[in-house]
Amino acid sequence: MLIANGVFAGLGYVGGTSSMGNQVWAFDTNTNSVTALVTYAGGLPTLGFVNMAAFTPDGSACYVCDQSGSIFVIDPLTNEATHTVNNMTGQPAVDIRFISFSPDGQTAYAVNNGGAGDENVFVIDVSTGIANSIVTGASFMDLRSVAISPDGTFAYIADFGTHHVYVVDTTSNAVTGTVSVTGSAPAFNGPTWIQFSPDGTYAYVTDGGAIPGVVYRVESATHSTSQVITMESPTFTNPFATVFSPDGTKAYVGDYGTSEVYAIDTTSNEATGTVNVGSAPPFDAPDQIAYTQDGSTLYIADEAVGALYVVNPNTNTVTQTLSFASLLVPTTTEAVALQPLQLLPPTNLSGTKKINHFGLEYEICTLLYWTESPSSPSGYNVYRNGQLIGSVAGSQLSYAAHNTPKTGPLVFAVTAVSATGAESSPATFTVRP
Amino acid sequence: MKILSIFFLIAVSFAYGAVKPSLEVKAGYFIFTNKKLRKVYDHGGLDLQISGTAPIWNWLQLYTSIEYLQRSGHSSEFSQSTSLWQLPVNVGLRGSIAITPRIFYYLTMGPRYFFLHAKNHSSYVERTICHQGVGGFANTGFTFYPSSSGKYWDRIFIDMYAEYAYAHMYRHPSKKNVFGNSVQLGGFSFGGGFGYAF
Repeated sequence: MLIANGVFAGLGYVGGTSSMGNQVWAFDTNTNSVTALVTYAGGLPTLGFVNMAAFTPDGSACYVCDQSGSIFVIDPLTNEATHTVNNMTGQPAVDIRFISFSPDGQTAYAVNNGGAGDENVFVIDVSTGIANSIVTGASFMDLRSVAISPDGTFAYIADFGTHHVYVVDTTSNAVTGTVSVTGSAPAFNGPTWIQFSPDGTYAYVTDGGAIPGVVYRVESATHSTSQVITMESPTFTNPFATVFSPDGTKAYVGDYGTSEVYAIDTTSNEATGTVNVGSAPPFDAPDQIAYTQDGSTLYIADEAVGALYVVNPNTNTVTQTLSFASLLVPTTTEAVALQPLQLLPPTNLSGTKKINHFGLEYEICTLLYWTESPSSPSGYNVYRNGQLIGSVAGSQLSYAAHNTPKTGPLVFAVTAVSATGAESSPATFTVRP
Repeated sequence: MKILSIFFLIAVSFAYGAVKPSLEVKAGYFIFTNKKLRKVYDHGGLDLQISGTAPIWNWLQLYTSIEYLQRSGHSSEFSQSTSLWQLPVNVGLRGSIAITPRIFYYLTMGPRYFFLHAKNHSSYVERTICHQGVGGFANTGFTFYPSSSGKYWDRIFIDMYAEYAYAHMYRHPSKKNVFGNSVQLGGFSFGGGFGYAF
């Protein structure tokens, strides 16, 4: 669905390999079909084997990490990789395994799995596209992933080699400690993938360092594990990627070893079943998993299968695989990222001042009108000089701002509000006193 | 000769104007002179009065009345209901002259004290407003005694009147971002009544 300002709602990227080499495909989540092959601006290196992909929080760009040490930045408006992150750290970028953005989108951490001596986590200034420092305070051995907490105050780094999950202060970009394993849970053997719950109170850490594999639940408040994910049988063998549903009630874990994707009840922290592929090719090495923002669909890449699985999370069944039509068909898919739904403000905000006489007294009312946000929000918030003065349903495109002051600057702002409470940037209108 | 004729008529009028104490019930149509009030309260409304007179000297009478007028309306922009009632008390001097033995013309003037109560069905302004103040009034009209049978009902009279009242008010609302109007609460009233002269 192409919407008013040119932002493509329902955009995803899948990275994989094809007969023509490594590729990134753009696809439409509404039709589950590929719409374009990502192109590359002149002078960019050749895309290596794709490790993972992630959108910036505002959805304005998608970052694709490859095993050649590059981080490609794709413009979702043109499906072109316009540039790569400029590494100014002085450290060689060898194999970028993972990238994680701060919630404000200003900073990103990228894991560089460079082998002995060259393992580090780049700190990227997203606005300039430059990696200008690294996380300090630990000697890493085999970095696998990084995750910045939803509140942006700390991050976890999974190091398969040192068997640690490091805690990083995102202000100083320094390691402050490690996650401790408590109770009868086995110590970390090879922490691999870290995923925070949507509310940030805990994270799941997959560990495929030994058989059976383990999925830990780590509490953000204490930086310690509280329990491991249980299941009846079989056990995890090589749990890899994990993802949470937007409401946090459910999670999925892909397992390289058992070639299954497990559905996890996050209340009981128990695997409740596996994703049934139906007539689609069976999973082999399930890789990155992505959830649509409305929680209606799950996409699963597979490093050993040339398909991107489309899953109905209500039934845990694969409903189809992505259609590549006449474009290059992948032989494997490793990465998938979905553009965060852009919550756009209303447009054409205007107002009319009315004197509402009651005979003996009167109040001034400013009647505000606007054009519906292209994002079809569930409601709108109305502000006067920065103070919330009212909220209306998404179907209402006007607001009567009563008791307007007679003097002083009056700036009205209207924001679109999503069902989850997210708010767009404001549309503003100034009333002359 | 002309001057003498006028003098004679006035003399006769004063002679007939030696009026008696009276009590009267009047009803009229009231209309605000203030444009905003007319808009909000849909022009005017019923005005009820009880008045009485007492002779002071010859054609001069002491006049007093208590009046009640009530209006309902809607705010100018959002049609929120509002209502008010006023209770003016008038005291004045009335000059009365007889045009014929059964028809009298009068003119009354004096101060008025008024009490006002308004109710706004809106959270955007003050819900209740009470105000009291002093103004003035003037009325004029004709009284007509329809019977001359020598019976007691000869004292019953009919009154046709017009009245103007002035009562200024300025509100200083206490509620934030509510503003007061400088309002002339009075207006014109036209009507009639029945009375009894003792």
